[in-house]
Order: sequence, then structure tokens, then C-alpha cells
Amino acid sequence: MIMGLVTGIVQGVLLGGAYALIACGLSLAFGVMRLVNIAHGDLAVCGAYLALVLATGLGVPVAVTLPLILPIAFAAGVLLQLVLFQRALRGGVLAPVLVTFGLSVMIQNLLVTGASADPRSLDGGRLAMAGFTIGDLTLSWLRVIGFLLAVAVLGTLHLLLRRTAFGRRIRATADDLETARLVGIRVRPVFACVAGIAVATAVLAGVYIGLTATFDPYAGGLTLIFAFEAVVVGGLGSLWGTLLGGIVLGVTQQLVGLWDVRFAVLAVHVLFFTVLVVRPRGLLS
Amino acid sequence: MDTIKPTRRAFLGVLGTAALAGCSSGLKESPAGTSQSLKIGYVSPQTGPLAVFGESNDYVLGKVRTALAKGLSIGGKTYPVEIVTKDTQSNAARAAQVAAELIQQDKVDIVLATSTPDTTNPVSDQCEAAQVPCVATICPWEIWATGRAAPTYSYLHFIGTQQEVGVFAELWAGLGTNHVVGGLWPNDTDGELYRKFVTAKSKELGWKLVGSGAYEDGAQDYTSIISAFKKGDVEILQAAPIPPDWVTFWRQAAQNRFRPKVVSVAKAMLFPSVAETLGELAENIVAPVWWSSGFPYRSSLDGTTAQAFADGYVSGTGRQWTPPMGFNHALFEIAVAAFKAAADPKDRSALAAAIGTLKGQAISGKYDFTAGPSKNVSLAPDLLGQWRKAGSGKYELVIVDNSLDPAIPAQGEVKPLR
Amino acid sequence: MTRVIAATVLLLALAAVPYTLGPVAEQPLIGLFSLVALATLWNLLAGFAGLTSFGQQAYLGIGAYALYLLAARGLDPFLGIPLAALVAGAVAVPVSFPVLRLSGGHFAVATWVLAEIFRLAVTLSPALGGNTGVALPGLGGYEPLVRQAVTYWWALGLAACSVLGVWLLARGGFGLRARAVQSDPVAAASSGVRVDRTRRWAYCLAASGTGAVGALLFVYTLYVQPGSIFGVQYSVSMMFMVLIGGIGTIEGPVAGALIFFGLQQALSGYGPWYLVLLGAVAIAVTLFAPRGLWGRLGRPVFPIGYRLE
Repeated sequence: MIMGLVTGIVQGVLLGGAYALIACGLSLAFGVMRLVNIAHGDLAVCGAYLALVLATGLGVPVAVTLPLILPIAFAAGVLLQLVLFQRALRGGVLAPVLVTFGLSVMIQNLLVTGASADPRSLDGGRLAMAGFTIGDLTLSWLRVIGFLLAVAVLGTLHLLLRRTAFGRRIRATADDLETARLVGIRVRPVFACVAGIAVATAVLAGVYIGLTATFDPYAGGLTLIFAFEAVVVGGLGSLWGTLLGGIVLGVTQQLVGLWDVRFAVLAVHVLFFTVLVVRPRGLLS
Repeated sequence: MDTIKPTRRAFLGVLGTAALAGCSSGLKESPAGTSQSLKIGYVSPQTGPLAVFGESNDYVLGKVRTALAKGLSIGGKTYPVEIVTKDTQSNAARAAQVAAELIQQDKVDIVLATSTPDTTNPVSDQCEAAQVPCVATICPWEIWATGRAAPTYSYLHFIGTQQEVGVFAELWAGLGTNHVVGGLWPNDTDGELYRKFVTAKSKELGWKLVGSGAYEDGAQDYTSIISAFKKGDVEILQAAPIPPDWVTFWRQAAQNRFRPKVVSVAKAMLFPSVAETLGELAENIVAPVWWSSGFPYRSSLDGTTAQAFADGYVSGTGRQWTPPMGFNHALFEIAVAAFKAAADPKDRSALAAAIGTLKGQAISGKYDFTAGPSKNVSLAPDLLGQWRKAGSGKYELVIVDNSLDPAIPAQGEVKPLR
Repeated sequence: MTRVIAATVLLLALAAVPYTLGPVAEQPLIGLFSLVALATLWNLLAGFAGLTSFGQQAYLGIGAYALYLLAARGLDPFLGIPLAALVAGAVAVPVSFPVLRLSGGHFAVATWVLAEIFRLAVTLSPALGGNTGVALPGLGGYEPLVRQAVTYWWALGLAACSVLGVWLLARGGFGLRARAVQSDPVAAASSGVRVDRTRRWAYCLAASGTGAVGALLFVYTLYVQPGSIFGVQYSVSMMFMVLIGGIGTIEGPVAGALIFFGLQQALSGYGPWYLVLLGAVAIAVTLFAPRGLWGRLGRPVFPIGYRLE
């Protein structure tokens, strides 16, 4: 019983890391630009397809393609911001939601025409299939790597925001857009960079999902709602809050799943709803 | 659900119809199809998560259209045949809507529905309500027949889950195991069905059962289920997940070092694309085979053999053949047979009645609507296969059990997973 | 006055369709009318009360399943539609208290999750058929022709009631208050508008109407499944229609429903490309015609005048 609980909690924390990895780009974009990006999950799926194409095309392991994919993703994010999001953000609360939703529908269906609806998966080699045992606890290396990756990405973003001049500009814009403009911050490049970073993290998460599970052109929507919940439970715009939110969701899912797997997802939604009602601003904020 | 009190219901029904009595006279009838062609409506998922079932549609429809290009001569009269296709977008409500469109707008003479209960059940319900003949396939008959009023216009030709579980159990019994069965069954229709029948079967055999609990389709994490299987020392795994979930589960099982002796997977392991995705993890997974290129049957439309039919798809598209091809083609064969058997192919109730008398052979094998396990059902045999890497480097389903239709040759022996 | 006459003539002409054109026209019009009703009701929330919901499918599902429970107990399904609307409205009342504490993106996501909770609850309930879904009992006594015609009249009635109802609401004091709340809740509150109450009315009325449409969809499709009726794509199409047509007007959602319906009919044969185009249209309209096509091109047929009381 105790062992079961420990297993549940450890697995839940690791799973929460994966949720946080997907959610951090969403959290960043909302925190800085108030952009609710419905296409976040679909951009992640695009990353997985890109990794699949490059890895099979070049005949290299998936990890080797990352240095190539991440800059592409960053550029795509900058472009999306300049062409779509920027205009949408000027159009009120609804416009960004609708524009990113339109983008989501387009991405899904373009992927269907280009790659068919078959579920795919990335080949992570021997490491992806390996696990290790501590006592009664069997853990997968990939899960551990995913958790560490989430911590590393969030830590880097945290340092970037807190310790650099660029980060100060971002925070100033996030706090008060008009004042930031007044003191001479050029908001447009700041936003473009943030969008680029957000898309790059989404794509990184997408590659990770491709390694652990399967993806198909419609997989984006499924991941989005969990990512959203992690962001909101943790506290909107708070990066470490997003990690905490992911972990809370992951542990809830695991522990309830141990009791009765039917209620695992329902419990996550109910928890999210409760947090939203009791602490609308999230746990950390 | 069966607690309807007929008297009160009848009373209220009378009230309702009485209120309508004044309005219902003079309603304009749907103008009968003036054309003398025979129209076949075909409903299948072409986009959305179930699109993989419909991916061979273009090829199958092309073959059928070529075979029927000259029309059908029935009773000395030649009718041109027209096929109208509709996409369900993998959505049950949309399936009902397009079925209504086929009936009202296109005025089809018969509706064919294929692939998963999400398509077959709403389409059959629409056809029953509109009194239009319908033939469905690729939905276990138990799901199609239960929970609905006894069908008169709709028919189904497919395998049954209970029968399939029986075949699985014989295969398990033939391998030396500790007789502990693990069940990975989601909270969807197929999951419920396998839970019901495998639970009954293992009770009958006196075997131990470790159920996963009805997890939600699309779940990303299976560690708690895998722990339960390992704790219960499961050596036989029976699963009925959707394809992406199976890949995720089976990989996580490998990571967490859960490796049973025999694994039989319904639904998810139908398609070669899933086996390719799994790579060497797919080796020796047992899956049901309801159609394969190795079937010794021919198309009743033009005599094409199953092998030639599958080869044509492979050389035309560069993709591997998929099991739905055979049954989707068979739907058209059954429709044509019904047109020929009906006294008047343009008379809907005569056509519906004619389907019930059919007994014949299609590219998918034998069908028989006269002696099904349930009204308007024709039961297809179910074989078992194992996924193995072929010389070409691709994974292929090798038939290892043909007990339900010995006319189909077995292609290999059963091997345990480890 | 001419407008009233024109509207009445149009309504009568539409009501006569089962006698004049028959099932050929009824079948697509049922789809169109339910879209009109859904778009109008979503506009009541978003356009007048400033509440952008992603979770209206929750009430579609509640309406449909309420109708199932009523019909399974012997009630005529057509008589069950208004009762299903009442059930949906009644469920919305307690739900409105927590969700209306939220606004903007929070509200959108919370309503979406709420719909997911309802969906999961239905899938876990064997009495409602679980994930498999259920067929509608009790329509066996109707001739196909009569069933189709009555369904059509219900659809027409629901669409007409939604448009007229929202118009009357918008013209009256409620509309004034609602728009005050939408444009600036704080200012509205300080000038004496009871923000919560206005929003709650909008939310519950929209829920009730959406519940009626859910029941109607069930009567029309004869089959309901949680994965489909609780699908987020319903909210998405409501949003498409309202934004493309023109938010905050009476005609906009109707025009949006017509455009959406037309695109669906004309392009659905193209599979994924149709959806790619739909996505592109939504983006283009939002960016380049944010007041919607009606707001840009049309003149108001249903003016929302300010009537002092």
C-alpha cells in the first residue's frame, strides 16, 4: 500500500514534468502577451513530424535533429507573431482565440493531407525502451529525462527573464505595455522573440511526446487542454507555477488512477475546476 | 431503458399524433427518384481520427465503379449504377447527418455504412427511421444489435466479439502459461464488450483475471496499469485499445519491463502502420484477422482474387493493404446481390426484404443473412494472425489459426512472445 | 411596419415548406436552423454579456440526455424538447455561480473543462449508455414524413424564438445593461447595474436554448454519443459563425450561420482542404473585418434601439 503510494507519487511527479514541458510555452505567451494560443498543441505536433522527416531523411537519431529543428521553430514563432498574432492581439479578447483556433484547424488538416492520419512515433533507440529499478520502483529513463528537460527549460527561461537585460524588457512589457512603450522599449521585437521561444519549447515538447507516445495530426487538441490546466492551476504567467501545476495534475492523475483508473482524468478536471473557483489566480501568484 | 410502459407511452403518443393529425395531411412526399439508375450511398470515415479505415476508399470504389460501369441487368432491364460517397469526419452525429442527406437529397436506393460503431449505428438508425435499406460492416455484431429496436431495413455482416474471445482462449490454452489474464480495456464500446466476454470466459476456464479498469481513450500514461499487471504476474495480455494508445502502452510496458508470454490485441493491431510504428516490439503480437490478402475468395463482381485485389492497391499506392478493403468491397457485392434478388430493385421494402434472403460469397468470404446469431446479422468467421517481420523488412500479419474457416490456409505456427 | 410584415411572410413561407417543397428542403434547413439558433445564443453570451464560452456543448449534451431520460419514460420526444430546455436551464443556475466569478480566457477554459466533466460523467454512467451512446426511443409511432416535418417545425421554431428572443432582450433594459456590462463591467457596476444578475440571466437563458437545440439534434440524428454531442467543435462553429457574421448584432449570427452552412455544403466533398479553407477564412475575417461581414457590409434589419423605461 505504502509502496503503491510512493510509486504513484514518483510517477505522478515525472508525468507532471512532461505536462509542464508542454505548458511552459503557453504560460510564457500568456504571461507576456496575454496570448491564449489554441494552436500550441498543434505546433508541438508539427515539431514531432519535422523530427520524423529529418531523422528518417538524414538517417540520424532524433536527438541530433534538435539543433536544426529548434531554430526553425523559433523562426516560425517570430513569423507567426509578426504576421498573425500581433494583429490579432490588437483586436480584443476574442480575436487571438479565433485566429489561433483557425491556425489550429489549418495545421491539423494540412498535416492530414501531407502525412495521412496514421499514428506515428519517433524512434528513440535503445534509451527510449530502457527502464531502471530502485527497490520495487521501476522507472523509465525517458520519463526521468523528460522531467529534467522540463526543469532545465523552465530554469533557463527563469534565468533569462530575471538575470538579463532582455528579460527585464520582457517583464516590463508584461507588467505594463503602455509604460514600457513610453520608456522606449520596442515592444514588437520583444514580443516576436517571446513567440519564437514559446514555439521552440512547444516543438521541443512535441518531439518529446513523439518519443514517449504516438502522435497524429489531431493529437494537438488532446494535449492542449492538459497544458492549459497546468498553466491555470499553477498560476497564469508564473513559470515555476506551471511546473507545480503540472506536478499537481500528474500526481492527482496517478493516485486516483491507482484507486480506480476510470476516474483519473475526471479527477484532474475536477481538481482544475476547484482550483479555478477557490483560487482563480492559481496556486502560485 | 426497457422500462417503457406501453400504455402510457401509447397514450402520450396518441396525444402527440392527435395534435398533428390536422397538420400531417397534405405533407409533400419526397418525389420518387425519377431516374432509372440504381443509387448506392456509401458512408465511411475519410477524415479525422478514424481516417485510417477509409484510406483505401479511392481504390475500392475505383474497382467497384469499373466492375459496374456497364450497369446491372436485372429482369431483362439494364440499370446504370451510381455511387455517392459521404465522409463522417469520424463523428457519429455527422454520420447521421450525411446518412439523412443521402436519403433525402440523393434519394439513394440503398445505404452502405462501414467502420466502427460510430458510423454503423447512427447510419442504421437513420435508415430504419426513413425505411431505407442499409448494409453495414466493420462493427462487432453485438454492438450493432444490442440497445436498438429489432432491425427491419438495416443489416450487418461482420464478426462477433464473443466468438473471437473463444478463439483467443483456445490459442492461450495451447501455450504453457500460468493462466493469469490481464485485460487492457478502455471505457469505450469495444472495451466494454471485451471486458464482458473475456471476464465470462476466464471465469468459465477458472483462470485469474487482472482488469485494467476502464481508462479513458487517449490516455498518455499507463504506469499505474502496468504496475497492477506486474503485481498480478500477468502472462496473457488481452487488449482492445485505440491504435495510438496501444503504441503508447506497449512502449511504456517495455520501459517498465512488463513482458507477458502472449499478447492478443484487437482493434489496434489491424493496421500495418501501427506495426511499423512499433518496430520490433510488434513481433509476434496476436491479432484477429477478418480479412487478408491470403483469403481464397474472389470478388463476385468481376472475379478478382483477394491477392490480386490487395496487390493492386499496394502497387497503385505504395502502401500496405489493410483489412477494411475486403469488407468494404464486400458491401458493394452484397448490395448488387440484393438488387438482383429483389423483385423490383427500386422498391425499398422489397430490396430490404431481399437482403434478408441472401446467402453467398464475396471477396471477404461467405455471408449468410438467413441464419445469423441475431436478426438481420450475418456472422463472418474470425481468424488469428501474428505480426512478423517479412523478408521485405515490413511487418506482415501471418495467419496462425483458421479454426473458424479451415478453407483459408494457415500461414504459420503460433509462437510465444518470449 | 413593413419589416414586421416581411418577417411574418418569411416565417409563414418557411413554415409551409413541408407542404410545398417536402423533405428535400426540410433536411438541409433543419441543419441550418439549428446553426442559426446556436449562433444566436452564443452571441447572447459573447456579444451582449461579454462571456466567451468554449463549453456550450455541455448544454447541448444535457439537453439531449435529458430528452433521452424523458423519452425512455414514455414521454413523446417532441413534447420532451421544451422540458429538456428547462433541465438545461436548471443545471445552468448552480453552475453559473462558480463560473461567473471568472471572465475572459479563464471563463472560456473553465466552461470547456466543465463540458469535459459532464462528458466524462456520462461516459461513466451505464444508465445513459456510457461511451456507446443511445438511440432515441419513442419515435417508432411516427411516419417518416410526419417525423421529418415535425422536426422541421421545431427547428424553425427554435431558430425564430432565439432570434426574436435575443432581439427583444437586446432592445429592452436587459440589452442596455448587458452591453454596459460587456463594454466595462466596473463602470456598469458603479452606475447601478447588477452585473452578476445580468450575466447570470444571459448565461442561463443561453444554456436553456442550447439545451433545446441539443434535444432537437437528438430527435434529428436519433442517436447520441457523449464523444460527439459534448465535442468542442460545436462551440468552435458557434464562434466561427458569430465572428464571421458580426458579433453583437442580431443579423450577424444569422448571416454567419448562412455562410458557414453554405461553405459546409459546397466544400465538404473536399475533405481536409475544406477545413483548411475554413480555418483561413476565420483568420482572415478576424484580422481584416473584425466587425464581421454583416457589420462591414450589411445594414441593420433588427435595430437594437435604446428604449427608455
